Amino acid sequence: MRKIHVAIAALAFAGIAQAGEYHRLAQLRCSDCHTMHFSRQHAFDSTSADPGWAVHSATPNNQLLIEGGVNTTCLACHDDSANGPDVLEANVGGYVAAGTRSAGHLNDAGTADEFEGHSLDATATPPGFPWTAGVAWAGLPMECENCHAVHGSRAYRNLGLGRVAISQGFLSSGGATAQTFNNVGPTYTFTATAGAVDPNYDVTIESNSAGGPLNGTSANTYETAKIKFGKGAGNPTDGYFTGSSYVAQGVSQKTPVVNGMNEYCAKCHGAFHGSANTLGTVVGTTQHYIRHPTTGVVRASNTLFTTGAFTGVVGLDPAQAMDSADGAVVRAVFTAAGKDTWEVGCLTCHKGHGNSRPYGLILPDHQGAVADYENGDAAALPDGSYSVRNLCVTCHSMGRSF
Amino acid sequence: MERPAARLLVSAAIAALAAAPAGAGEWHRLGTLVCSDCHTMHNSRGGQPMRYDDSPLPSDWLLRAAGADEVCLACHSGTPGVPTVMAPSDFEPPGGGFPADLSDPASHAHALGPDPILPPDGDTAVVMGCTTCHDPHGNSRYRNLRPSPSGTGRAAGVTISVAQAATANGVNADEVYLRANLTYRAGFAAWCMDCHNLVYGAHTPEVALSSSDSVDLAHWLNDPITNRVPVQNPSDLVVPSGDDQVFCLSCHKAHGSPHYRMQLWADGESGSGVATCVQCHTK
Repeated sequence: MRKIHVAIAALAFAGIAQAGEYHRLAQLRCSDCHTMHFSRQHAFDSTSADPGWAVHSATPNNQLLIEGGVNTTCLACHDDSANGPDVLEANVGGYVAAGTRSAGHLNDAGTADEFEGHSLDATATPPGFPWTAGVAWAGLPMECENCHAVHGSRAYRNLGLGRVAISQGFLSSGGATAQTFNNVGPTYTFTATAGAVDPNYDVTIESNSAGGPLNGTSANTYETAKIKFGKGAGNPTDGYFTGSSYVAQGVSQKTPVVNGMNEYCAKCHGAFHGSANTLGTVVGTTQHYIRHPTTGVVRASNTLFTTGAFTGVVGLDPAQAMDSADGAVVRAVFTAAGKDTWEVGCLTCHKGHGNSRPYGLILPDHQGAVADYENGDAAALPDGSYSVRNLCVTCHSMGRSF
Repeated sequence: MERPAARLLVSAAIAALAAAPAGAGEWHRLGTLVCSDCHTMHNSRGGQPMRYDDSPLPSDWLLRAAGADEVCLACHSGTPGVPTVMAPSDFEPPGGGFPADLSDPASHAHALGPDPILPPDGDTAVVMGCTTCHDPHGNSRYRNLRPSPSGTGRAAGVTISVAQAATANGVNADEVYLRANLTYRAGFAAWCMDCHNLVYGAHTPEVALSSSDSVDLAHWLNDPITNRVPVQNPSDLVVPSGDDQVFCLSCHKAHGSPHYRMQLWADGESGSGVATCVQCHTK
């Protein structure tokens, strides 16, 4: 019995949430998601059953999951629960402050909200797929584990090591096929300085502990205003998941490419990404964009782009646009700590999960302080739709009336 | 492919409620400039192309058609509630319209195309397209006209002044683009001469009818005249009146007409065009 009590104590201590580092290593609690015998009559401290870890379904489930599938297992804590950030539709439970979720929220396939972001259980081919010729989407339902490593990775928000079913098989971290989701997770670090960004990392999280995770008050690190995007250094390190302790506090694996967040989105939405897909043919000395640029086009103070005469953002001070109230909700990918040069990223315009706006787009009202970091504060049009111009004029001066 | 007619109706409601309304009479600027009417970021919506011609290929400038003219014409060629520019006319709408062949082989309109063209009575070749004369993102000028379409800057300092009786709200194009609701005040001849800078003669630049012995002013002022041609009124809003000036649009349509050199025939297509001249010159 003593051995059991020791084990219980160890598990309880490991239950302390650590900002940005949850669901991996010591914070990976097997019993959060799995049950050995599909029986839970009490919690690990032998008190009455803890509803946060109760077995919910009527019969045992594959892979010893507490629910009938990956999505429902994740949502046991990540939907309508105070146990973790609510990632599906309304923010219930209060784990993350209202209107602040950095990734916004998912929706369910088959609902009226399906056009507003990533849809759980959706089987449609992602827009902008494939990332490589000859690969077909296998049409299996979209699951949390398509993007997040359920047993943790060394990347921001456990991205990377995603499992996606394609025509060549079901890619997994241990499969023999090409591990497309391996070594592409966005890198991240922490800062204690409000609003600071380290452009050597894809993501900078503001915390109360410089250079490392914080204890006890992790919820705000899921808030939009606490998270800044940087270009990243694209410097690969050893192994993607060693199961050992950190190499150093707050240092995560770096990806082989810069702008790791864009690169990650491009694994499914690749046709929208990169110069090959966004730059048109050269006519004389002129080359225009055919899709909105992502990685590689740097907007610097009061200058045009470095190639050609792209006039899309002429006459607009990028520092004013992005190091401002607007910039806290429409987040650039900063290429310098001074935040006066930046690129645009997928997550500049879209929420990673989605939100309550078309295509997960962020629509600010450019009227000063931000109230709604998930959707932006722009009001609906009389017919209930929203004007995308609110987003465009953040960077582009045409149509600006403020 | 869908046309944004419904969106234009919504935009009309926006204009009515907007705290910062569009400039007098003008559409396609500020709050009435809808980015997604013309541009698409990824040419994908639900996996389907967003181009008006249904092409899956993305286009330069992130346009929803092969080029700027095609984008403009996706709306301005018969969409309900949107002024059309594809019907050559003598009278309504005031700007006239283009023939089906935009290259205008019969010289009835401003020829549009990708290659520079030397304007009649002009010395600077210009690539003519919709956006040569009109700013697609809007400006503070009448009909969003650019200050210097030729790029020479000749007319950059010219102020075009037009009194409009109707303000665009997205559903009243037939009122806004109606000759009876427009009174030209100043600047048009000088603006046209930004490209047609070598035009000379008694009709230029903006000549008061009262200043010429060849004009039968009494006829112009006192007699009933059918399909009275446009004139400029620098001093008042009354036509006819003593300040009336002949200018380019007195005899030519801005976009095109059924006639050579975009002439405006007061007696219409079935006439001879002489009716235009005799409104002022009865001798």
